[in-house]
Amino acid sequence: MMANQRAVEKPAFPFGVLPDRPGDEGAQDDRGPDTINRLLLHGARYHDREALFLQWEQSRKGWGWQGHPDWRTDRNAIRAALVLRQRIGMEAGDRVVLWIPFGMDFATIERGVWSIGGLSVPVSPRWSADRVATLLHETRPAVLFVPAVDSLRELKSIGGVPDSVRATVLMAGEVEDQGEEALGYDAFMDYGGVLDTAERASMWRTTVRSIPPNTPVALEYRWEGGLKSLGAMSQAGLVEAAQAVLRLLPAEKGGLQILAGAEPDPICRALLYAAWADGLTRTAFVPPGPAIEHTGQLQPRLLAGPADIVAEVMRKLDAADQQSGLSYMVCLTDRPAGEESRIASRRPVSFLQSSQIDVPLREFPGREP
Amino acid sequence: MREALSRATRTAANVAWNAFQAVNTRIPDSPSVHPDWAPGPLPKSYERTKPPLGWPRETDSLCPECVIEVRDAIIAGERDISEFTEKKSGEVKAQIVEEDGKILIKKHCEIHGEFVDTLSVDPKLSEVLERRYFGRDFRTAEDEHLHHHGSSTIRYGRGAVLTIDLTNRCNMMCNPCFMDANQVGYVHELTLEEIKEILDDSISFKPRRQMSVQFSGGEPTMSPHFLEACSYAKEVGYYSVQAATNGLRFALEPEFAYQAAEAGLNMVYLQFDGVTNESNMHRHISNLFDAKWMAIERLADAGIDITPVTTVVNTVNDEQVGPLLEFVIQNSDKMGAISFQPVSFTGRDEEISDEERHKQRYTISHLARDLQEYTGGKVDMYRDWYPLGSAGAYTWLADHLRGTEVEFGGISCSCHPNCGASLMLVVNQHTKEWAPLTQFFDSEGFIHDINVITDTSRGKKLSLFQTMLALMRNIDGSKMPEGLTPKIFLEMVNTKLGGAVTGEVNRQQWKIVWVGGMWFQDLWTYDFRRTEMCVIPYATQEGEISFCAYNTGAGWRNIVENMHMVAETRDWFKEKGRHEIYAGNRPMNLAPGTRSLPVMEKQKGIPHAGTVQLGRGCSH
Ligand code: SF4
Ligand SMILES: [Zn+2]
Repeated sequence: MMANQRAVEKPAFPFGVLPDRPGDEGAQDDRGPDTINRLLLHGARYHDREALFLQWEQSRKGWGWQGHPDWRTDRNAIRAALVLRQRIGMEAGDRVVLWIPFGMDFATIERGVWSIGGLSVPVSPRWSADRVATLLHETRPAVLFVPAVDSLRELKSIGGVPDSVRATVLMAGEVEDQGEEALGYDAFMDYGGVLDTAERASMWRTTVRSIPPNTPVALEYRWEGGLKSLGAMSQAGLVEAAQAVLRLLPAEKGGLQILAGAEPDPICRALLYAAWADGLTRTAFVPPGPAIEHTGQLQPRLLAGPADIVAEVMRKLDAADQQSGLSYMVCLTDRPAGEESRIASRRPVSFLQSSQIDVPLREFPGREP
Repeated sequence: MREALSRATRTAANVAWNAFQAVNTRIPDSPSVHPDWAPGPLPKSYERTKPPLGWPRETDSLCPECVIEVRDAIIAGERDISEFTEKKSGEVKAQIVEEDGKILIKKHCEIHGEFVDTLSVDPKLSEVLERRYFGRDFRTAEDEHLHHHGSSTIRYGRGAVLTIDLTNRCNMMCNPCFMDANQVGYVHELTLEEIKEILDDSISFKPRRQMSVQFSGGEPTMSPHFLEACSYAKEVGYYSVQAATNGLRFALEPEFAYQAAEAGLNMVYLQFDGVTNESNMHRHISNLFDAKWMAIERLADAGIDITPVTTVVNTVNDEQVGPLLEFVIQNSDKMGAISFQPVSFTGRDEEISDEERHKQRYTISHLARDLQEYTGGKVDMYRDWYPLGSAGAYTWLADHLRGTEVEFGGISCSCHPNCGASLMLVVNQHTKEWAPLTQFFDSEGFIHDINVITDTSRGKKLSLFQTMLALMRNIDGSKMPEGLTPKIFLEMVNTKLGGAVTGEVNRQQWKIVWVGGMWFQDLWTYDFRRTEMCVIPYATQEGEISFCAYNTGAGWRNIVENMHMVAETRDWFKEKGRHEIYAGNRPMNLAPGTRSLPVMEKQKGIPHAGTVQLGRGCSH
């Protein structure tokens, strides 16, 4: 056994009845973990050093699936929260548009936003600047996260950045000539780093616990047949969906789910938070691109994402010998029930319908939510 | 009965050993193993070098005044760094002599006259310690990119503890502190990239060391990169990641100890001045001891080892050494070591008057004498103290047993016998029964046997066999404290050797508690024979520098920090935001905050194999 590794008991589900460990009194209040943040604080006790997220990244030893542990996501979420509140002056109820790929950074920032009472507005990186501009003018966010300089340039050229935006953060690329308000993601996190002191971190944890479960935390846009709809998601709603996932797919130590080419939609978030909070299941983020090539090394119990990317990953899994015989579950996030027939594998797969993980959204009337 | 049995075992082991050696030592020595990490085969005892020892002897030292003049001129930009890297500016010869029952260091500068200071108040102890010195480690090779500091260059060894200052910021205001950003007026802080580069570089030469890394400062937990630094050090291959800390962050933020443990932190050197709030008063927090205690509980709960570090100043807190030892024994379930650091007058203390300095001077010999007195002779200063450098013997043995295909050499603490000494205790964590290890184990005899084993070098199996015999013939079971048996003891030793004997490590009620005396140098006691074989390299943006050469002597700290400071303190706070500073003799708010993020189970795991504990906390 490695030093620093601890034995992990399998927690009971659903979350409401998760037992406290001796000495953890007060870690969970009477209402049970009914917000995502409380759920995560709770799940943190079951993670071991290597677990939580896997990303295809370069490290000292070259490219590989790098594991990101709990303390890192926790510290980074605190940083994000502190920068948003103390540097950028974001307040409870303010909106933050996340026009970035769905991955660890997305999850970290979103958690930071929620923890200080903000609302996230996830935007698929595939959406056009036009569409994003419309959404920005409707939601009037305080902060805007964009994938790269080019996207920001394009947005600006069509007057797509409303004056409500106090800060823009670029996830990649150079910050120069984007004006004062554009900040690189590293610089953004760095700012939070020096604020991340014992006193502020403790205060942050208190704030997190004080946010009521039913307040909206995210605005969800959908575009179907050229028509746009908008709904608000609460933490309570997401917790409910995450619990549904866990009833269908009980947590298992070392279990792995692959979110391949996933969009930041409610289903994918329910899958993500279910795993994150159960403390036992890891999540591998596989964006479209080179990482897919290496998915054969992974042994998932769930594979989720849009049908075309899922099919590609399945071919890799099929090709990898060690996979034969293992069954897993597949969730096509962009297909309605009954449309799975085109997906074929050498292995027994079962299907998880997106309708089985229903994240309740509240209607948002009018232009000005 | 117990006595008879123990005598019989020893006799049998002796007979077997002698019979074996009768043949073994007649056959020519086999060649030593040449592990991948080493620049050459492991040296035989007759190939190992030692610095000149004994007295009277002459050595290279510094004029306390000349060197300050040169250092200041370099910082002011009036003179070039080559004064130190190429010329021998500020250097004088020193004589080490015995006079009036003391060992003194005396030097003469043409300009500034005579300087005298005390190295030891007990020549007999000094003689014993020098005799027990085991010899230097390898000469370093292909290391010019890291070691290029003129007379201060490290020339021997892989080091035991690599020290890295993450930041000079601190959340306390001890007076005076020559490191604290609030008091020096500038911020010196490493970026994550710099930390990674330093850690990568540190394993880029031979002997490639598996050593411990110690993050220091300032207060290292104030660095935004503290956790990432711990994690990266583990990734690079450091087997023990340590921090010299005041402990406040661990007390204030319940989750921090757990996260640090997850990130890879194994041990903290906890600045510790005494066992009451009163004895910590000069740090200007009225309930500092309570805060330390809270930190200790959380760290222990998270499975992080704790070594209290105390700077001992004569006539100031020398009477605390006994109670502190007692404290560690009573809390041996939480801590496995204590490090006493006889004062070294560095930083602003370099301005101390001769009279004050003589009054406050405390040495290893003072420490040994005080502990002997406090324990009523249970600790015998001549029997129980060994130079830190004798631990090198155990490393050689472990390296020898591990063979060739190992990536890193073991931790080797082979520093100069004047640098420090230690004492091992065996303590029962439950009953608190204790005894000096050398009360029943002849360490000197065992080290002698190690020489025979490694010199003849007969392959792993035969070496192991001899090691077992050597252990058995040097243990006197009849002198063991109640409840300890030779079998338990052998398991403890194996654990300390990182499982080198049996490949397994065991946890017992009994544990070995290390009591160290680490005597850092200052301008008056300075000896270049010590710095060139330093085992506490300071890793900086300007290479690796001996701890003593960094904090005193040429004073590389001032030079490096001035070259690489990131901002004036005032501007830094303006741009980056303020953090709390605990001062003004007010109590800290230690709300018994419940842990909301209990990331780990209480750890009953494995102690870190073969740790040689050195280093220091912020001790000024
Ligand atoms: S830090 Fe100083 S006292 Fe310690 S080993 Fe190095 S030279 Fe010797
Ligand atoms: Zn002089």
